[in-house]
Amino acid sequence: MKKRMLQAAASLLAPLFILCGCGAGQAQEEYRLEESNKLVVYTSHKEEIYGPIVREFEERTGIWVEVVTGGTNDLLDRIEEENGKDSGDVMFGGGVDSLNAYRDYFESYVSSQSAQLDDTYASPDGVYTVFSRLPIVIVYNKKLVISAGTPRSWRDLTNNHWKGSIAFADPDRSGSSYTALLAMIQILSDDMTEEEVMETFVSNLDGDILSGSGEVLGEVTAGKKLIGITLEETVLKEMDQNADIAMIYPREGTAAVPDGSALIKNAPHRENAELFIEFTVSEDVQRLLEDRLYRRSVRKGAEGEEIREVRYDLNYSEEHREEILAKWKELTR
Amino acid sequence: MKTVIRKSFKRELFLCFIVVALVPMVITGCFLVSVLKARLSRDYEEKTQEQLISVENRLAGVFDEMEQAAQEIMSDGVIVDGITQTDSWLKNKAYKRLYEKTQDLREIAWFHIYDAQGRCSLSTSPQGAEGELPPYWGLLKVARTHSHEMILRRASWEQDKEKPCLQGACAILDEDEECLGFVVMDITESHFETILSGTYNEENGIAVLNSYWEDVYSTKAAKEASLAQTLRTRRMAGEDLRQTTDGITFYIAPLEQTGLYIILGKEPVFTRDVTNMTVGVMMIMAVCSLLLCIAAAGVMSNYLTAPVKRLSQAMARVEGGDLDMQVGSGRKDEFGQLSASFDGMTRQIKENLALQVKQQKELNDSNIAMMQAQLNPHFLYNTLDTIKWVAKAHHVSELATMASGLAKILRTSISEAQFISLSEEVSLVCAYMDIQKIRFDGNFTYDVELPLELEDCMVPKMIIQPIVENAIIHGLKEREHGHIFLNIYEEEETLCIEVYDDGCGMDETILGLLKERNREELKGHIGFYNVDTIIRLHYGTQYGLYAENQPEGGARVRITLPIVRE
Repeated sequence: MKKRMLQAAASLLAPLFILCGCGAGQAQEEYRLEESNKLVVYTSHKEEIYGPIVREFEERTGIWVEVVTGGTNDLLDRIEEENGKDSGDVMFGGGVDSLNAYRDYFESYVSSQSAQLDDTYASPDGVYTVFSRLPIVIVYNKKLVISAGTPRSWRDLTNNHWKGSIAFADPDRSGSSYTALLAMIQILSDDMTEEEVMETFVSNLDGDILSGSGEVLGEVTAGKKLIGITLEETVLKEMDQNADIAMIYPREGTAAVPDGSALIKNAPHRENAELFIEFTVSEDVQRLLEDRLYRRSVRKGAEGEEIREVRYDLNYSEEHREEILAKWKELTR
Repeated sequence: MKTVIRKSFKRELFLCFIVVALVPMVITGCFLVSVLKARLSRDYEEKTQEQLISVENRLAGVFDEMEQAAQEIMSDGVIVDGITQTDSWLKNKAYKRLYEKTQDLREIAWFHIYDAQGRCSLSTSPQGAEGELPPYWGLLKVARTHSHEMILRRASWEQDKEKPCLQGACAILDEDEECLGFVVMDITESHFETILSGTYNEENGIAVLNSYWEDVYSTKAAKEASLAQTLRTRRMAGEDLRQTTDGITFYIAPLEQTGLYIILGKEPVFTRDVTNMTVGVMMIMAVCSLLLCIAAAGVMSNYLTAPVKRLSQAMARVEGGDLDMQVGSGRKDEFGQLSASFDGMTRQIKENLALQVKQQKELNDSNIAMMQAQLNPHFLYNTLDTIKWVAKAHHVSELATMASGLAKILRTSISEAQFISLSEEVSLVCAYMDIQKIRFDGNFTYDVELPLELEDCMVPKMIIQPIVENAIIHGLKEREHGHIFLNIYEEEETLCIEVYDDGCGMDETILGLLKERNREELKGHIGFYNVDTIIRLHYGTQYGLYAENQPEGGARVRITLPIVRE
């Protein structure tokens, strides 16, 4: 009897609760996003770089972009871990050497604009698409170093004169530092062996090695070090705010290893990802890089001031990475 | 469960009451709450919609004014010429015009004029004409391609110290559709505050989003709740925009033609607290009515079952022979009627019984009369008297005693009087015992204790003799010596007559039968039954005959009677 009554009561009350429950869902359908309108971008760029580009991409294409930020190595590890399952669509940022190292997790894509792009560091099998060139420069404090006395070349950095006054980050921790070290070895290889270069340079650092590339500029502006080795982009940005520093491009030429973008394997929104990669090398974005973002365009015939470049040996740097870092550790111990 | 309930009338009633009281209460409660909730939510939603509409209208109005101002600026030759002017006098003229045109809109936006290359040339902003906007990018690019309308964009460059939130732009074209420059309008956070003030409730959060749901402007409350971010993340992930865990409810309204959205975040009208409270109140009410049900079920079942119980008890007593039993309910309902008819029925039975007894008596009377008619009792008396005197003359005293005793017994038993005085009754019993003494050769003795003040009490005749007869014949059977003691006394206005013997006592089964008043089985002791019946018939059930064995041996029979005097 009781059970039947309960059932009857429940059936009486049910419509009431249904009445109360509705009303929240109607906004839902109206604002549903189609999967074809989405894109997930993993980026190691700073907000000031990816922000305007991603927003402009949204405005121009109508595609909603979800941005996942992180350090280059963290994001690449994540991509490796996800291994094409529930992963993002595009890896935006990271040196081309790093991207190349994780080639197994990317899908090959050759941009339709590749003919217009500088092909010095182009990926032969389309693992990545270059995004911006990042030359390594020597920065110095104008107040502490007279312009006549500035170092002019990589060779100058091995000069005993600068002992203890060079700001340089640990190449084991900083990608740009490693590139700078390799560029130096490569450029000085005519009359010095790899070991000699490293030994003299390390002794010139006088045991004071910075833990990250971010510190280089600070050390120089603060006058703790007279000169430093870092990326052109960071120096240009700082020069806008701070009149104390200046930079020089080494006479022998410098390495300008680009960063790039790569299509993640099994990208759920592959078409949109391709559109995004195309957009990153488009004329407008590349122009914006030079105009406002202190970077060098990868497009041929870009407006930026010509600098002397050496062709950085990506293969050598990748293959000898362990060996060189081990040597570095030994020397700096 | 079912059987447990069915076993008690009280529980059945209780269940009925619960169903009757609780179910409608819960249903109406739920109904009321949901109706109230729906109604309140609707009102609330309407109010919110009103606010949204007022925000919408205000923004639309502001954008209209901006567009108008932009049109005026664009059509003003002096200002347009001023874009490329380096001559400070002409520039000054252009500035004057610009300030004139934007006079009323100073509170709403900063107006800038950019040249075709995106360099700022004139500006009403306190920061002055500084900064650049890339003409191939974002705002200016869209303004150039949609050259006849005002473009609204979320500001993306931090060019001024006071960051603009929203930028509007119109391209200035000459007759050949060549771009001469741009009118750019910056709406900063403080402008937004001015624009929106008074259109919404302060405690609500307002956020303006662009078409990709990125934050253009958020009030403090909206920023704290990170409205824009939350909504964008949810929309991207395909989750429900409104989630039950939210502390606030969102209302979303697209702003026509601008691609902007207005989000209003509001504390929900039915917070968890309110819901809990209503549920709590309902629970308390339910518990109260439950207690009431229990109490009512108790009272009600007592009210209903009490008369039934009384009736069934009365019935049991009537079955036991107590015809004086009356229920006497004072109630006027069906139970009262039932009790009354029960009382009527017992009365009727009693009357019938009395009538029967009366008829029986009449029959007895007629039998005696017949005997009297057959044999003149005076002849018997006289004969017995003569025997007595002859016996005396011949000195046979025992014969004389027997003859006179018999005469006395005979006279009393055939007299028409129903009641005799206690002294007469006692002397009758003595005469009987004297005769029996002679019959049984004097092997028993007797004593009589009769207080003087009780001698004139009237009792039905021949009520002691059957008891004494029983004592002599059954009690003292096969005894060498026996003693009978007749003790009469008054106790609590009741006349007590006790007959003791020191014989073998009475059989327990006989005592039981006597107690049960079982006439059928009382063979050989029918005298006891008769005495008891006579007394009950005459005086009512509180009087009668009681027999028991004495612990020291022998039996005691006790008759109780009311004290009646002539």
